[in-house]
Amino acid sequence: MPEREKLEKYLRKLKKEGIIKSIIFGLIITFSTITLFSLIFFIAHTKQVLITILLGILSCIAASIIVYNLKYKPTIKTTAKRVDELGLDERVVTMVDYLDKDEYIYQKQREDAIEKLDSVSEKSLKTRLSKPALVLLGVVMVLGLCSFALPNLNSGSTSENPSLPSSTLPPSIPDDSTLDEDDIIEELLKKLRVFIEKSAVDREFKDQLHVIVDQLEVELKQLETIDEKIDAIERTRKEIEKLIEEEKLRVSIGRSLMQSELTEELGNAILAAIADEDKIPDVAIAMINLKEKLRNSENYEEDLQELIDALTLAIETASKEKNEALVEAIKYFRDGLLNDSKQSLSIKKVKRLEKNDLDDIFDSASDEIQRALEKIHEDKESHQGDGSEHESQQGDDDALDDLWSDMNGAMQDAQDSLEGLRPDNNGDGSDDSNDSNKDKENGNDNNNSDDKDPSDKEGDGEGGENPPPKFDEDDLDSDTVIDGETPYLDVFDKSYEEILEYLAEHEDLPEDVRKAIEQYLEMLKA
Amino acid sequence: MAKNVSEKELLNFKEKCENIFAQIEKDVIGQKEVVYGTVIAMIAGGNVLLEGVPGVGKTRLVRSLGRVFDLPFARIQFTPDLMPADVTGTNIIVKDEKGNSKFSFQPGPVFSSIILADEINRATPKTQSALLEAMQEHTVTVMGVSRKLDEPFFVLATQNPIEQDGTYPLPEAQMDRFMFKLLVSYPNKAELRDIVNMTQKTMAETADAACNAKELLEMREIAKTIPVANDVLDYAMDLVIATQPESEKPAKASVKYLRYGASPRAAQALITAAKVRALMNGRYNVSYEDLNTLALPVLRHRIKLNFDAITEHVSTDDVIQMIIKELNTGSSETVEEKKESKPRKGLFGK
Repeated sequence: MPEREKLEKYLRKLKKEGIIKSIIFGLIITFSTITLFSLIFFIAHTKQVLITILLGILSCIAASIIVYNLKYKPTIKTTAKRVDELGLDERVVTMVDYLDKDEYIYQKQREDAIEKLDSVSEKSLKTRLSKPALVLLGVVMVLGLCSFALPNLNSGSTSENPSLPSSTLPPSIPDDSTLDEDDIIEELLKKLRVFIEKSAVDREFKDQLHVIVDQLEVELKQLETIDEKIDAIERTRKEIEKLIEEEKLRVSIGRSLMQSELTEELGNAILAAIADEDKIPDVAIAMINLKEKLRNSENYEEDLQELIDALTLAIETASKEKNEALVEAIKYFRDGLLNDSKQSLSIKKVKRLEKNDLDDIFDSASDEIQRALEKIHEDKESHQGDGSEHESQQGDDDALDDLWSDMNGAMQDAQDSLEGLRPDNNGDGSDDSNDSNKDKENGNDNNNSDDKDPSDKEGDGEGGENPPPKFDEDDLDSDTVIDGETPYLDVFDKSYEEILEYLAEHEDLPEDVRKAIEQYLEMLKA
Repeated sequence: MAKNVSEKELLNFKEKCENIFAQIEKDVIGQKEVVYGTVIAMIAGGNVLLEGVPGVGKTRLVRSLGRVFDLPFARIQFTPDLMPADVTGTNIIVKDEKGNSKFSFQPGPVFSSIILADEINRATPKTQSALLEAMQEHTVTVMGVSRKLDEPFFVLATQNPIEQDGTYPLPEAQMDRFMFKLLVSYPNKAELRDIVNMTQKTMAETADAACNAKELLEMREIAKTIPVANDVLDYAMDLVIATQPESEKPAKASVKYLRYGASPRAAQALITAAKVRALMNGRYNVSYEDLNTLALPVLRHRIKLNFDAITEHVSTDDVIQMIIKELNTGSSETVEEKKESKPRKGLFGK
């Protein structure tokens, strides 16, 4: 129909207007959705920017389509009404209403309507956008864009762990800033002892480390400020870490040598000598046995090669970080064998050594190893005897020092707030320390540092074979007695023996009581 | 069934209207809106109540209309002692050729085509009510016998808004039977000068007949064929319903200022008159503007103000305009805003 065709151009224009309005509506919904979900994710302490944006886009598309089809999609009737508003006095809408009428008056009306319609310009039909809708869009857009900052703040706030760097450094300052100074120092010392207990070294060495901590405790009593105390604790902690690393390094040489059947005895002897100074002569015996084993071997070349390889492996395993005396001694031994047999590691074939050469190499190597072991024990004794030595272990790790300077700041803040807070407050008092440390902690990615291996900071001498233990309160509770220091099994074993003695002495105890006690002890042991 | 009009008839309609106005202008100076409204009502078949102070030309206008439409004209001067029989006529005893007495109906002045009910509010309600049947059904019943009045039939009544002593306000039923209530105002200075100059020559009307009864009825039928869009029809209904304070969709102004609103006759009158107005303006459809313009003469005498409106000096016209604004914009206009707003377009339209 010509009447409809006349309206088509206006209809197209109104379709565009409808689409624009729908998109505006969709954007309002989008930014409202973004704002809403950002708030939800912020409250939920999660960072879901992509999901928020995705939800916003989906809601925009859905809302635009729905609102266009339900409200803004123009029909021929709505188009006629809009065109009539150009001053056509309802001619067009009347024409559209009576398009199917054939009487003369209707034809006349249509002619009149089309005549008037032709007299107006298509451009005079302006696009109408609701001002309140545009204002609302502006408001929700600002809110929505601002809400993107929320997840960042959130992530920032979650990284701002109110506690001091507890995990990177085993003896962390406790989260609860309401504790007073003594409580904090006591807590740090307790964690330091737990750290020692959890380290993969033997009992004797742990006892020696505990002695260092005992000396530290004495030293702390002489210090006045909490900053000084924390510095002292930190220095001791670094020293203990170093000693543990070195101890593991030494142990690692012995263990490495034990992997080969040929050097198993020598490895055992070195391990025993590290643990006990009196066992050092056993190393010489092991060396003699090794020499004899090699000399009498039917596959001399192969065994010599195996010996060189085992020693090389032990050197490589142990000497990655520390070039200590024991490593040097083993290297001396390996190089002696190497020089006289094939001059170089790259040469596959080895030559048989002369008897005198072999004796010289083994004897001199044995002396070197024994001297190295003696030096180890001398070092241990010096640590044990001179507690002030750890003062010389000034922080060579700048990052660590920075971290501890942050700790000091936090401690100062905690100290400032001590007076207004209850000492035994177990509530969440972390907010204050959180705020006080916010700026400082931003530079440190210590949010997840609880999971970090303390040895990562200085490298792992054994390639991560025996990483230092992780420290947390759970471990403290589960593996120690109530004082948080003494290993549970130590107490248990002693008590277990005492109870067994008691049971042996009291034969008059009823059998059922005796069995119940034994079962209970077995259960505890398990 | 609606009349199937031709182009010639539409052209004749326009010519007739122009001729009618031209002839009336010979006798009536100014008062264009009143003239225009009266002509619309006559073509639409409605009665008109003219309200104005004495001497503004109400009676002259009606007499002139009688001449222009070339219709039988009767004037009834309503007074307090006027009786219904004086309007409708009565049976009188007459003797036939044989000398026998019998009742014979003597038609009153209502048996005419154009009735001028001058100062209608001076008669008693009983007498005023004598016109009820004639105005609505175009019949008169006397002594149990109904007599049909000749078509076309119009009552053009006048009343004086002042001098209320000894007057009887028209009952609502009577008011509802007037299609329009037109307010006749004082002429302006130029109009007054023309009036004085004209009446110095002669006081008699000089207008010639421009349309007879048959042509007037044809014009009425043609106007009825004008199409009304559904939206426009809905708007007319909304407008009438909005005046009813207790309806489902009352306007805020109605709720505040009206005791009761317009009857369904108002909606009928509105659409009928709007069709005539549209055709007079050379349009073949009814527009919102037709309805808004005619709302005042159609509704002003059909709505009753409440005490609040009276105390706040809010007139019926104020309320109607507030209702129109509320329907068009969704927000009601305050009395102050309405009084400060520009005068609306008159009945003449374009």
